[in-house]
Amino acid sequence: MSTLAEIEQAAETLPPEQQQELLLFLATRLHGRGGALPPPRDIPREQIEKWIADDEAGHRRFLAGA
Amino acid sequence: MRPATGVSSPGREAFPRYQRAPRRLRIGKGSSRALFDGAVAQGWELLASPWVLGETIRNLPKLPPSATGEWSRLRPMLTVVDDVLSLDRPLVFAVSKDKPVLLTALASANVLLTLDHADFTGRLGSQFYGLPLMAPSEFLANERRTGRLLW
Repeated sequence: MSTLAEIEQAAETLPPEQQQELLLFLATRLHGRGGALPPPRDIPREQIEKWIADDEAGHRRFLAGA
Repeated sequence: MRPATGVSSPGREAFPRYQRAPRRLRIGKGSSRALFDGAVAQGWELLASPWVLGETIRNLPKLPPSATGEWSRLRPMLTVVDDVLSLDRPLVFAVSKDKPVLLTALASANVLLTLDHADFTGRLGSQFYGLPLMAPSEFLANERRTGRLLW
């Protein structure tokens, strides 16, 4: 058993309490790997411009009483 | 009450808190700017982590040159808090890209304000482990609705 599909299929056959144990096992493993900061995101200019436009539109709605 | 806070990078997060110090306001074009302009009067503390500041610096050159000057003026208004990288509760969904922002806000802020609807509210809903996630304009409207807004 080595693929995600095979593991998922096997997990389906476990009783609920063991599925819960498996979930906690995986969550603990992922939690333990949480120590590295990802590099800062390179955000596309178009995305930034859209955020600014959304912010200004939202503020116009706020000022209008929405 | 936990300190309310703010993180700010291009079009991204900011977080608030409450005290009193009436002051004349100058409102800019967007709600994000209004948060900075109103922070002292409202008693909001705006927080940012080093990771968010790094993201801001990385993307600042994509904005018009005047943005650099504006950022120099706004940056001292932010309180820098440590990045938080782990949570004492399991995360059962993928948050790796925005994990520093989410976990730092959860540790330090009353609310996470973001314009990044796709990566935050669109994926997580209106809260993250009880931390409200909203757009700056939604936050301002909520403050007005609850009678906390001074303008």
